[in-house]
Amino acid sequence: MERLSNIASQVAPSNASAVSKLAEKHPDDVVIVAAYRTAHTRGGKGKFKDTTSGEILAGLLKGIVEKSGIDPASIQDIVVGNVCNPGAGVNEHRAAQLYAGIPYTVPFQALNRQCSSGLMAVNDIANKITAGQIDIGIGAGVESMSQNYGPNVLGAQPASFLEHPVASKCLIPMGITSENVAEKYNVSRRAQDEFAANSYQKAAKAQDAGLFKDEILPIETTIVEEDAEGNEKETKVIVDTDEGIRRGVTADSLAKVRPAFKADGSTHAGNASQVSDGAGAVLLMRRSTAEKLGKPILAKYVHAKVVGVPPEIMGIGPAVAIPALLKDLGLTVDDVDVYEINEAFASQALYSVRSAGIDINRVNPKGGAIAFGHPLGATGARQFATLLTELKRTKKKVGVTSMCIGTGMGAASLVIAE
Amino acid sequence: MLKFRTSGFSGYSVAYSPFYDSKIAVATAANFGLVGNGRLYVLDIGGDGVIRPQAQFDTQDGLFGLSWSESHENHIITANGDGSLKLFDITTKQQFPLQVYHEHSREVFSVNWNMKDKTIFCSGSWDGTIKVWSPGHCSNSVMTFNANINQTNIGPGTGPCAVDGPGAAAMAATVPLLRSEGAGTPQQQQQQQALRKSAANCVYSAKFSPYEPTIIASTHSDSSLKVWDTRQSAGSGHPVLSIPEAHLGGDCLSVDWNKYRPTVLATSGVDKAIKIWDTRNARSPINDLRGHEYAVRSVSWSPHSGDTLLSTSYDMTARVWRDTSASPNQAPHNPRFNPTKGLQKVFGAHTEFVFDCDWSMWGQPGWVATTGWDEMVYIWHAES
Repeated sequence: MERLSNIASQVAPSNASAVSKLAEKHPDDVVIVAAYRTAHTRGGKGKFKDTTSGEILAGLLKGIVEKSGIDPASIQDIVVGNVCNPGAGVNEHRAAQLYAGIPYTVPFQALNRQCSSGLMAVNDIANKITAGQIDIGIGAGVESMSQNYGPNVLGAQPASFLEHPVASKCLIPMGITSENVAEKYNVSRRAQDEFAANSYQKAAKAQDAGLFKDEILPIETTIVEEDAEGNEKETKVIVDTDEGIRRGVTADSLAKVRPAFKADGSTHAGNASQVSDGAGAVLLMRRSTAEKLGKPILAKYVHAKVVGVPPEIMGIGPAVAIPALLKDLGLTVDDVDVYEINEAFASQALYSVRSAGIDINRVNPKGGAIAFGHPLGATGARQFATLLTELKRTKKKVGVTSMCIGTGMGAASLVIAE
Repeated sequence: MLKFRTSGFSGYSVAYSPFYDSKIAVATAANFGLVGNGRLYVLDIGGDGVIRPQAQFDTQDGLFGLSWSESHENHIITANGDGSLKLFDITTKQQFPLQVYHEHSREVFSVNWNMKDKTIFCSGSWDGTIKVWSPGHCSNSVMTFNANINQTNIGPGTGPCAVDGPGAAAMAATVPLLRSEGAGTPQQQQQQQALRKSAANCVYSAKFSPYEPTIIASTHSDSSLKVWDTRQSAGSGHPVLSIPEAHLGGDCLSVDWNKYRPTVLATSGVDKAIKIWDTRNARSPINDLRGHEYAVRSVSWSPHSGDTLLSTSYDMTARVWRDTSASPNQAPHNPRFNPTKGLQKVFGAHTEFVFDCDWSMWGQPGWVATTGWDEMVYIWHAES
């Protein structure tokens, strides 16, 4: 009886998959219209060594406005994550916005949640769109580790905190937290080196194939070098290529590197993220606004989650944040096609992948921070540029970005490409 | 609130007369429309608030849709479960229709008279086709749109009135295939299989635009919303617009054109949602309205206000909504704070699935009629 089964099927619960429900288009969705990054250069030695974070940011903001063809005056908020500058760059990055040609009528906000700052900037813009406060915004992150990374970044702690059993752990150096994760969860030196070598190999392959060209906006800057007579000489350069990606790195070659934080440790320069300079920026809009302006929609920004973890093993952040994110959305780890998990250290990245039960082949398909660097405040925004170009290239849909956060947190976000 | 009981018959469709301020017609079916007879009720709303049957016509199979003629005040066309369309004159004493149009091979679920070109109407059937008829002109359809077959979506009608066109040969080729069930060459069998599979693409609703007499919007069991143009689609064999996943893979059950914004449509679906579309940019809906707890069976725009809609659902309610998509500075919607954006009123008098609704064009704006499986017709005011 077809009429009966027809009615019955209409009353039955929907059999649409959780992913297709999330992918459904609503006019009030937050969508990503553009996501770009600068090349990541080597800290203290690379092409950005003489460039301030503000100049890197100005170059990228100018680029994203030009590339997306939006009226800069139509942007209603800019949030920029940064870790090392005093006050997260609140002064110099507002200046960078104005220098980039975005008028003073567009407000600016500086933000710092350590290594997730770039993601938090994007999430803050997304929340403002959801709440109806703005229609168009840029979430970005920038870091000049060449110029601003140092011991004073940590700030002072009163003696009472230093004596406190938990609070004092916020002062543990990141390298030691990596050793703690490796020890506590039995992540062997060999496994870390294999993971790190794989990151280098994937990044080299992606770079050779030109896969980063779609996500990197070239920035013009100046480097200062001493000539043979010891005179300083300024040279104009175009920065458009990641500098950290070494060729021919293998687990065996990494096995020779000495541990950096503990004599008997397993974390070293070759299986930890590189010190680098760079920036990332994401242009977000409400879907109805993007449609009105006729802008291409790269992805729907679906959700983000931040969790807390013990400070002394802060690296496990993604292992807690990713399942929490997926639980909120009713998804499983296999519903996600591509994961961009920041490689602060091979120990924590590998543990997080294992602990969450993620297929390692879906993680960082173009390599990660071990291969091309981790400019702290930039990474969270950088990951969107890397992820969205990969989802587009492979015609995949669901992407997750995640990272661990110093002092004991983890963050993760989910997007669905369109 | 006024009411009338269609005893023994479940309501599937209800419509106010475009000519008389006191008449409504109700298409009904016995046994919930699953099997058995149908009955067309013509009801008169008395000045004393009592609804009285003025005429009724019994049919062999259930009635799933109806439309008043826009050119003759006493004519009603009905959509029948046996695949036929029957034209009744409500003033005749005899039970027989004036005319029977029988070309659809399965249940006809929708019939709609063109408000601009009042000589034609269109029908939508579970056989996956939409047919255009010109009753004063010919007893055969004048055009067929086929939502089943991607390559040859269109053909002329059959019979002597059929218009010769590029689709004619294609139609001639597809019709026998649809009907023949016998074994053929492997290639033929494959084609037949493909046809049978795609023949599941039922048309639930097909409606002419109130602005453009050549434009038809249709909704389908494959979740799509399609828009056809009798001028263009005749040559191309394709709809001029198709939104494949209008309702998240579930049946797209009804469509209605906005009476004030020529490019704006509302659809409703099994996903419990009502969606508002602008045909100028159909990448995503311009609004969606949620709150029904089961499939939304029908949706209808107010004739008096470009932002007011009425819907009926399997959740046994009819609901009135305000669509803010036309307001330039609408507050964005946050589903966490306000899960039922735009909901103005819930009408809960029905005790079974509510199948259809219509707005009265007459008198004080806001009067509506609803009908459903509880054998009730209610007339109530949507804005009070």
